[in-house]
Amino acid sequence: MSARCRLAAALAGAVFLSAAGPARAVTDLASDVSSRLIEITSNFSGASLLIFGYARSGLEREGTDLVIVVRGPATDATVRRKERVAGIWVNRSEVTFEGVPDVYAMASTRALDEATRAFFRQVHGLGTENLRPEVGEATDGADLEAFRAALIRRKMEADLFQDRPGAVQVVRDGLFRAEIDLPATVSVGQYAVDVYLFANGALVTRETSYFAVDKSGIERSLFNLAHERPLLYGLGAITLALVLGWLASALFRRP
Amino acid sequence: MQLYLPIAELSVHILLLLSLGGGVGFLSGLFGVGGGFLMTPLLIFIGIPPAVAVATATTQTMGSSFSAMLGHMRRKNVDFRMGAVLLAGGIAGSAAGVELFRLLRDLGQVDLAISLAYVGFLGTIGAMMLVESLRALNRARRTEAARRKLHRHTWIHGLPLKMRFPRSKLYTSVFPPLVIGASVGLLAAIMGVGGGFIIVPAMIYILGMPTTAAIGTSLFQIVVLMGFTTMMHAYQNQTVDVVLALILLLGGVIGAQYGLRAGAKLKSEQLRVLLALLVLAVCLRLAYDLVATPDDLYSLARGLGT
Repeated sequence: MSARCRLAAALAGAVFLSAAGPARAVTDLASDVSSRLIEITSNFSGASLLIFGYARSGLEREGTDLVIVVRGPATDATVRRKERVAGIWVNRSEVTFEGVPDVYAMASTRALDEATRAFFRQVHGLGTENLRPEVGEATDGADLEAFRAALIRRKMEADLFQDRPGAVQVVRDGLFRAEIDLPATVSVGQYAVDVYLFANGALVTRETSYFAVDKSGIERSLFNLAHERPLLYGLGAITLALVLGWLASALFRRP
Repeated sequence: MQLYLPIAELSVHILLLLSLGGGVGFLSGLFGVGGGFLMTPLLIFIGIPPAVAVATATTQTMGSSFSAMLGHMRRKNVDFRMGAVLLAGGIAGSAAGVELFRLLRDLGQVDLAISLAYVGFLGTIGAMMLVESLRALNRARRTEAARRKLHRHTWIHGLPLKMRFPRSKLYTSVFPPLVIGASVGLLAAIMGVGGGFIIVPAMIYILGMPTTAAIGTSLFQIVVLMGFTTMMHAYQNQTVDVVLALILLLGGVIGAQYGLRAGAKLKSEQLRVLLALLVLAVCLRLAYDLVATPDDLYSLARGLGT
C-alpha cells in the first residue's frame, strides 16, 4: 500500500517538476499529498500520508525553511477537570473549546523557532503550542490556560496532535517530502494540508492541498445503515446475537 | 490483526476482543450473570467510547445469555412464569431508569452516579453473598445430609395475589418479583447492565428460589430485557457496534458453554462463594478508581465519548 503511494508520489513529483509553469511568479511552491482519499476499511489501523512538492527558490539555501501543517475537521472539544470531593474524584469544572481540529500535525525542516519568527507562528498557528482554540462555554473561575494545555496534552497522547520538527526532508534541489502518520482514531471528513515557505524567518508563500478521510466498503454500509435505518439495524443486531447464541448452544450440545 | 469498528470509529486487535468476550462469557455461563457489569468497564478501559461500550455490551450480553439460557432450558432450569412476572416489573423500571439517566446527564454527573451505584450495589450484595455462602459451605461440610428447608415463612408470604410457580417450587405473591424486576430494570437502565448479579441473589434470598432455577430464570429475563435495550440504543443513539458485538459474541458464546459445564461440576455453595468474590473484586476495583488520584486530572471528551 505505502510502496504504491510512494511510487505514485514520485511520478506526481516528476510531473510537478516539469509543470512548474510561469503562472506562478516569483516564489514557486508546489505541493500535493499522496492520496486524495484515505479509505477506512475493516483492517484500517491508521494511514501514512506522504506530502511532497517543489520549491523553485531552492531549499538548500541558508535560511529557507518549510513548515507543513495537516489539519483535520474542526469540532467542539470538552475538557473536564476532576477535583477531590469527600475523598472521591469528581468532574467539577469543564471548558468547551470551539473549532478544535480533530487532527493537527506539524512537520518542518528545522526547529520552529529557528525556521520562523514568533509572529508567523502565532498568526498561522504553527506548532501545537501556538494553537489558540476559542473558548465556548466554561465553568466560572476555570483556569483557561491550564485547560488549553490539557486539551493539547491529551490530543498529543492520542497521536491526534503531532509536533515533528525536522520531519520535512529536502531530497535535492527544491524537492521535499514529509511523511505524516495518522492514527486509527482519525475522524472522517475533509483535511487540509498547508505548506508554508519561509525565508529568513519570514513567510514567503503558502500552498494548500486537500484530502478526505471516509469509510468504505462494509464499514461504510454499516455506519450508514445504523444512522439511516436504525430500526432495521437494531433488529439485525438482535437477530445476529440470537442466532450466534443458538448456534453455539447447538454446536456445544452434548448428546 | 487490527480490526476497524465502524460505529466506535477506531481499531482494536481482534484477539484482544475475542479473549475479552471469551473470558466474560465463561463467567456468564458459570454464574448465570449477563456479564455486562464486567464487559462495559473493560470495553471503556480498552478505549471504546462509553456510549458505544454500554450499548454494545448490551447486545453481546443478550447473545451470550441466550446461549447459556438454552443450556439451562434443556436442564429445565428456566421458570418462564417467574421470568414473565420479573420482566413486567423490569420493563417498567427500565423506562423510569432511562428518565432518571437523562436527569443525571443534565446535571453532568452521570459518570459519578454510575460508579457510585456500582460500588454501592456490588459492595452490599457481594458482602451479603459472601457471608451467607461461606456459612452455607460450612454447614454443608459439617452435616453432609443436612436437609434443606422447603420454605421459610416471612412477612413476604402474607402478601396478596398469590401465584403458583411450579418450576421454582414456590407459591408466593406476585408483588415481590414485580418489585425485584422493577428495581433491576431501573438499575439496568442507569448502569447499562442486565442486572443478573443483583437478580440472582435477590431470587435466592428474597424469593427463596433454588440457585439453579434462579440462574436459568435470570438468564431468560436478561435476554428479553437486553433485546429491548439494544433496540432502544440502536434506535435512539446509534451506538450499537455490530462488528464489535459480533467479535465479542464469538468469544462470548464459546466461553459461556465452557462456563456452563464448569458450573455443572461445582456445588451450588461453592458457586455462590466464587460469585460473591467476583462481585467484590469488581466493586473494589471501581472504588479504587474513585479514590485514587488520577494520572491526569483533565479528561477530553471527543465525539461519542461524552
